[in-house]
Amino acid sequence: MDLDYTPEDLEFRRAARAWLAANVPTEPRPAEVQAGAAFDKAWQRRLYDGGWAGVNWPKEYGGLGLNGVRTLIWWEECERARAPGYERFTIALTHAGPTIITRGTEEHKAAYLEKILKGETIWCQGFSEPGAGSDLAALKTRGEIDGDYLVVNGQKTWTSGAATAEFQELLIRTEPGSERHKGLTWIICDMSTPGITVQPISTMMGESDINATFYDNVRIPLKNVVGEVGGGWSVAMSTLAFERGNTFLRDQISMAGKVERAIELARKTVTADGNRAIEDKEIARKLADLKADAMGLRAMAIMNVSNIDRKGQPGPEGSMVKLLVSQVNKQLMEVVADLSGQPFLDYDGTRHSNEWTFDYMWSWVLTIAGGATEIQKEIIADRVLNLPRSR
Amino acid sequence: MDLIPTDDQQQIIDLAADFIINELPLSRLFDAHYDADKARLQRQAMAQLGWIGIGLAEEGGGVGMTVVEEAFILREIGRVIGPTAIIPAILAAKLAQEAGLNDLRDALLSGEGGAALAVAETPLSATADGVNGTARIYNVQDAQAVLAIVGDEALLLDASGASLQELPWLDAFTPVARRDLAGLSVLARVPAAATVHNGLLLTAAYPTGLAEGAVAMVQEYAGIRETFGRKIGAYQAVRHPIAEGAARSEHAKSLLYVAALALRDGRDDVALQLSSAKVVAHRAATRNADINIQLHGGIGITNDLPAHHFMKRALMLAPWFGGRKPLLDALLDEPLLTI
Repeated sequence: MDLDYTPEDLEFRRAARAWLAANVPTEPRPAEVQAGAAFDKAWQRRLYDGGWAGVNWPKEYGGLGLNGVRTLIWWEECERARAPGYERFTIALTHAGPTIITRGTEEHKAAYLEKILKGETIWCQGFSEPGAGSDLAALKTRGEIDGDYLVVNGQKTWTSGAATAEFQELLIRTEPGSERHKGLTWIICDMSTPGITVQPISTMMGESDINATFYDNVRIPLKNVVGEVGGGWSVAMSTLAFERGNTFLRDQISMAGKVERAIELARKTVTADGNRAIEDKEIARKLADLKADAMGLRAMAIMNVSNIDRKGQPGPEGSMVKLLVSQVNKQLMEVVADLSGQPFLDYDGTRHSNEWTFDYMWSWVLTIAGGATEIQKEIIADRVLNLPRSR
Repeated sequence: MDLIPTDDQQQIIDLAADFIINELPLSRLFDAHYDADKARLQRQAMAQLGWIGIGLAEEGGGVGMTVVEEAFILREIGRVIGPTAIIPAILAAKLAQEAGLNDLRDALLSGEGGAALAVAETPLSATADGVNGTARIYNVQDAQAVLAIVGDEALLLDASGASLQELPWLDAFTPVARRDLAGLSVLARVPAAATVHNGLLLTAAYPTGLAEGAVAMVQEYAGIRETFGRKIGAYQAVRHPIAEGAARSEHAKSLLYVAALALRDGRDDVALQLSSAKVVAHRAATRNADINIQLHGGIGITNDLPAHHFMKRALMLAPWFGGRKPLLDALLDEPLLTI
């Protein structure tokens, strides 16, 4: 048990820090959807050219194959450098790509993986539907086999990045009359296929890249099926452990920095009574409490990578991280709203007009998207605590 | 970098857990009262296991391990609301060793005598020959010395022959006195930092165990108790608070391990890690004590169930080595060294 880095770890950190210092874009990510996607592609390409793409993808698929500790170091350095996040490459790098690595054919791997790492293809996720969000297995979008094609009809929703994505990981019902987890198929959908309509969904943040996606006789080649026709549920779940271990690592690491920035904000904000916000003991102690929480999240990240490096998979903490990170974040945003006073309302519908206000609203996205808080508690109750089933 | 206990460390944890299941099951607390003879035997049994000197160097009569192993032991004791007397005993034995008080050290390490902890009730001040001010004195049974933190000094005060009249007290299993410390002669005085840091770690480890013990208790009940024809653990109103409690426990445990390693290795951010660990562990202990009482329903507030002792013990430990508010005020300005 130790908190030490090996000399090789430290060399890795030095190299990452130097590269990030020279390469992190100085301009902020544009709010507009197309420009934002172009920014993400350029950043991913820069990572690829610098040899930093796919930090925890296996080496044989072009990734760096970093172990847990090095992955942690990488995210710490990204946070220190305020480097861009995955953004529109989140699905490609943390879900679709790993799923193809785990379950795809050699043809799939050759066709899709390198293009992701090179920043050429954005992927979106076609899982949720208007009647199937938390209860994903209730999905109804159907695919019928017609020769060498699946013909897809229906609607997906919450499709982040649909307007700019080249591909979509699409989960559909291919056995008529099948229920729940049976009869589903996971297929790669080219977003330029005729019959697909993307409709932006307006959100409370003003700017957003969330969409509804409609499918009207969309013909997708059967060779795009990953896994078996009818075996889609297991394909969709096959990267669950990967996600649990890694998806929230950067958020965990970032929280300490975010709390520190909120403390800085409180130090410079003059409130209506003429005092600095930090002089208000209630504000100061809430921020300190959240700083302690953030140190705990970092400790859980170390526990997480230790379990991955020692046992090959995350321990129980892996299931609890999303719940805690999103809750700590929401509490932090509440304090920031409280200490900011009226200027918190200065907001023109884009994140750049007031990052804190955008983040405040975004905190609900974090407690809802990717498995809502209530679903995270169900997962912990079922899989970690083995409590009697509620469903 | 590795936060998983080594095989040797895991063996220490497992042995401690075994001892505790056999010697200190929660069932011992059913409608029980403080029993001085039993408490003495428990102290001696723990001393024989080497727990009081586990982090003390071998040349000082200790086991020669570190504060990390101390934290493991205290977490296990906390799970079953075990005796807190071991906390001042561990710290006083180290101070006695440092001050060359070998008789006192050996008495503590053997469990023959105990040490008490003074926690200020009014501001304490140290003079050339003693301490002025009123304090609660915890774990007065067989106390040969009283540990007091006064400003930037840690003092051992002579408790032999001192009047330590026990008070009626919320936590029935901890004998507590209250008195003016003036009149207790000084046995040893050293800079406080090491003792305070060590004390923060032990009082973060114990409530981490409390948090885990409370969740384990309610988790078991939720799998047995039925209402409206179903096990209550199947209701989201019950299982969700338990899931949150389990997450709080993991959060506290991870931070405890990091804080323990930071203290062992003398890392630059040790103060931030220790303060954070105690704040987070205390919160986890009190909230998990709450769900344990609440989700048991009426039986939860009775003496037929030890649920309330998790709450009382968490409250009692809160001010030791710095309460929540001073810890928060201190950690706000601690620099972040990790990113």
